[in-house]
Amino acid sequence: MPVSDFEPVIGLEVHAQLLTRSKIFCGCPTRFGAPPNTQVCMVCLGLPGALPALNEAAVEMAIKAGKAFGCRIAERSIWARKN
Amino acid sequence: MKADLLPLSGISDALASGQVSPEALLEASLERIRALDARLHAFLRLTEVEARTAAKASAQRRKSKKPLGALDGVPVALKDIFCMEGVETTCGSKILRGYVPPYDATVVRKLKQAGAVIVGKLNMDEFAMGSSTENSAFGPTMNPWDLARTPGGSSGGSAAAVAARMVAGTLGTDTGGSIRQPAAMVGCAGMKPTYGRVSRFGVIAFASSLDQVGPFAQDVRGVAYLLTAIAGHDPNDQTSSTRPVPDYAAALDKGVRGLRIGVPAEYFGEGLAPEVEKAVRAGVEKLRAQGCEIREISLPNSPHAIATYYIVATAEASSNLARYDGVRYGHRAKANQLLEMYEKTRAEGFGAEVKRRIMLGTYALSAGYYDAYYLRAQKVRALIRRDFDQAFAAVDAVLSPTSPTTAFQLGEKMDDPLAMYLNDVYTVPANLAGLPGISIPAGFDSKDLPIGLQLIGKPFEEETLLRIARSAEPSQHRAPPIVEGR
Repeated sequence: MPVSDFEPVIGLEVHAQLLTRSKIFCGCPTRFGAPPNTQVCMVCLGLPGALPALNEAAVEMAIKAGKAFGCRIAERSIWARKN
Repeated sequence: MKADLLPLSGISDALASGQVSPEALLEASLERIRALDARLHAFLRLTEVEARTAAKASAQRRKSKKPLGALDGVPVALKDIFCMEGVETTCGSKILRGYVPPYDATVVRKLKQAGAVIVGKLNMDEFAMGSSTENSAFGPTMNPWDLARTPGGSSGGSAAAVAARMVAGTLGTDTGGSIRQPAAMVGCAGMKPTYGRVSRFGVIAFASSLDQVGPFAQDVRGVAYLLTAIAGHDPNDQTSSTRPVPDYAAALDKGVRGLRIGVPAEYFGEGLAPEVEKAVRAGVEKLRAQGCEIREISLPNSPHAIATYYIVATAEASSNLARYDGVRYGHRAKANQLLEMYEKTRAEGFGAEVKRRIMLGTYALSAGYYDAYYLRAQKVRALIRRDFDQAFAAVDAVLSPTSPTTAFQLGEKMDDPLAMYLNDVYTVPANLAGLPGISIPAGFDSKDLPIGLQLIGKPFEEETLLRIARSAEPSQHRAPPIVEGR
């Protein structure tokens, strides 16, 4: 079969590190170069009983990105843990 | 009656009137624990030093003549699932033996703020998985009414400590009935609030969409005091509701005239012990005599509740227990390689029932089985919730037995996990539907074993539920013979 019979489809998966003041699920800072174990808490350490609390600024950034790309913003999103 | 034998609200009144001091109550509590706990094993550890400090501080506040909250100076204890800063918290498991949390659970902080005197941590089924407290890695708790029987589970220690008058109130957790069923087994009151009413931050997780923290006390008023103290929004738990918390005790004695109670046919069928049915039906008549309208209702998807629960709960547990790997805290097995360390740590640290449920949950979520099991279970869960929504269009509360039988013998159901799971048949639906439920004492069977009656309410209408429970609870609270030294 000639190459011209094939249509290339190329997807771009882009990861962008968000410039939020704190982590996505807790209030710990993310300052580059800080000494080890100084920007951790029970949540990001996954201690027993800890629960994630979603960073509002991260959600706002996601909405901005969605709008910039002309996407529809879902009114309701749910979490599904990847096992 | 000596103050320490009174139900929680009586103890609260005795403190307010100056009849008894917080220190005297604490001494009475510690003395009863010393006298009984070698036989009951309700406690895993005592927090005597912290308790004495708290009792002294409470006495100081009382001296200042300021009006104090209902729990100020009241001795309480906590299921070992609640993180308490500086105090070993094991969740009933060897994998967390020696683990000392660096923080208080939100509900622990709230109880401390309310002036409650925390006496110790209570025994439980490992990771809250069980209906008898026999799955504790540290030995079972005995039922104060018959030491050869279980107090139910998983909050067996919390129930036994109240029934044996060791403390006035306790906290437990309820994922599939783990507060209500033990309350029924030992003859006290135990409540699971609406999902989201109480913060789960600092509560070691079993199944995140089902777990709820709740109070035990001998009396409904005591349960109401505890619920008022622990309920409320917590920014650390984004599943917690922002609805305001009323004073749950305020309207307790308003009576129940005109309220409609639904009695579901599906909860009175095969497997229900005749003496339990008789006592629960007598409870129905007691409410009818006080002016309630009684209606026969149907919750047709009830027979699917246990299967749904044991897929959803185990799936969520397999995720929540993945963190126990020996790296950051808890037990770490000796090994030469990382994978070996993970495997040996979990093999050594987890008990048989925990392993069983992790495997079930992992299977239900695995590729090729996710749709058939987990996804389908979530759909059936929605049907179970819809049954209740439809029922609540016509009634204000649903009434049923809490458990199909009274307390069973230690060892009786350990060889048959499915037989053990069937203890929860009347309690799991409220967890699946996120509804508040309470068990109250409703008499005794011919072996003098307590019988529990369950009431399930509309979401966030704990006030109404507690009001009905108040009208249905016994006027006298007989203590188990072991308390009087018999």
